Amino acid sequence: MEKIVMPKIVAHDVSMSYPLLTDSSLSLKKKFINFLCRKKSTLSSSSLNNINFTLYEGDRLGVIGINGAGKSTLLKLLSGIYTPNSGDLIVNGSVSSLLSLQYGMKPWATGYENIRLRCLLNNLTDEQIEKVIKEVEEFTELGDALAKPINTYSSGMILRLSFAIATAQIPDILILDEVIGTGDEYFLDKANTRMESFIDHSNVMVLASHSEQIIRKFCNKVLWLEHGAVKYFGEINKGFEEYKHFIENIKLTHKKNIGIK
Amino acid sequence: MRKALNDFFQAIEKRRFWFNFSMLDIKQRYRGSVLGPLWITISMGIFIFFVGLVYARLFNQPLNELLPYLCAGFVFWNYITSVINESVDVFLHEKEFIDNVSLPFFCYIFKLFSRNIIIFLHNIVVLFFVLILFGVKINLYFLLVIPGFILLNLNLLNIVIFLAFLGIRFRDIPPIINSLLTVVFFVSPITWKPEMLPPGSLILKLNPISYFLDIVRTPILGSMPNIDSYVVVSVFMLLGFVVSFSIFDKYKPRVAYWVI
Repeated sequence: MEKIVMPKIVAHDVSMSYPLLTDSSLSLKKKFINFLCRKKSTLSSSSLNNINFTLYEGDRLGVIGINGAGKSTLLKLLSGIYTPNSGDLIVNGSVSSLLSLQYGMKPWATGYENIRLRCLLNNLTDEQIEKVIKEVEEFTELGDALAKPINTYSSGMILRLSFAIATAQIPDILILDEVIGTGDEYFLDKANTRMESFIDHSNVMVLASHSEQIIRKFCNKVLWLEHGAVKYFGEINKGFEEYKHFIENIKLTHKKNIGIK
Repeated sequence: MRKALNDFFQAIEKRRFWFNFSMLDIKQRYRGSVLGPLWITISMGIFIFFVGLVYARLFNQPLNELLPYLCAGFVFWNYITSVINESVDVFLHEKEFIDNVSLPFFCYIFKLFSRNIIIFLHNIVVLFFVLILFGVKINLYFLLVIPGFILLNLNLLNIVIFLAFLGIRFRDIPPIINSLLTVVFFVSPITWKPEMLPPGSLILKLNPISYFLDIVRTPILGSMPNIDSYVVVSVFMLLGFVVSFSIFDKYKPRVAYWVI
């Protein structure tokens, strides 16, 4: 009998745009003056257009695209931080996302305080919290540093800590943005082991990265974003083939433009 | 308003998170100080004592009458201003969270209240000290402080929601609110008594703060608040609720990209 596979993430015609606020648009005074002078303030906007894709259990999606293509916006949308303006986005299951190194931690609080806070945020019981703390201690090997405020940490230490917390409790859906590429070899090796066990649980992962190597290692599907729209979604090899072709073209036109000048 | 109510109840489920977070805030604020939050208690005590001395002379009032009145009023006023002042940048303060995790926004608002109530409980020590020192008779009316304080907070909740969204959208709001509060302090019956004004004065009638103060301060000083105050405060609360929850519903999705 064929196993019925439940879709975990369904994006159907999802669009969103948001105005990027500049310093002057953040001021009520300026807005009032503009209103009096009948001046319309122009706002640039960042957006995603008609995104369609479906991820099933066990899918690990690599999101690629040049800077500003909308990768981070898409991950924030999947994490529930942004809301789509139109279309349907269905996310089934618990989501844990590691979008930036700040990762919902207070810089003035100690490592331990931040771990506890993150656990309470997920409504964990005291027992579960103790377990998470042990696991994080083990994974990060930060020792006494965990009792110090995290603004005394190096970025590598913060990465270890935030990655450890994000993956301590195995979520249904894990969302990672770039950050993991910034770790050193030793960290990547440890992160590897953890991700492999994660893959064994056949959960869903979405990972944005510029590194082909990292995406090939962890993902089985790829989604290529360009100007906020999906250029390709599907199998990895073909995806990278087209993406590389595209990059080569950009480089060529760029060289030509310089030549003209 | 459905989305806002949903958010509200989800945040109540996460009460351990925001309560512990607010404790952490206070710990952080007084890290390295021996007295901790008692510092505010002491500074408030000193402030009330000296202001009391001056105003008792100024208005020709007996000190043992004015000081308990002043103290009760000021403890609540201090709570109200600190809640309102913090409301304008409540979202900006939690940038690290709003930008990285999807949480009910009421978590941040409840955290603000929880932190301020803890500090308020420290300050109330001064009030009890003054009440005992000047032999103010406490009677059963005192219990009316509890419903009064709840009503006050429900109103503040509406104001906080409104200002939180206004403050994250327009960053020049905080100084405006701050100077506005200073004005309100002087036109509110905190350092002076309502009886000092001619009867039916508009300064009292049009100032919502005078009704708020009535329902929490009067029972402490041993009498029954005016029924009018309860009516005004309740109507204010219901209207405010509709406005603030509608704003919450409409603008919540935008906060994530206003927080920059």
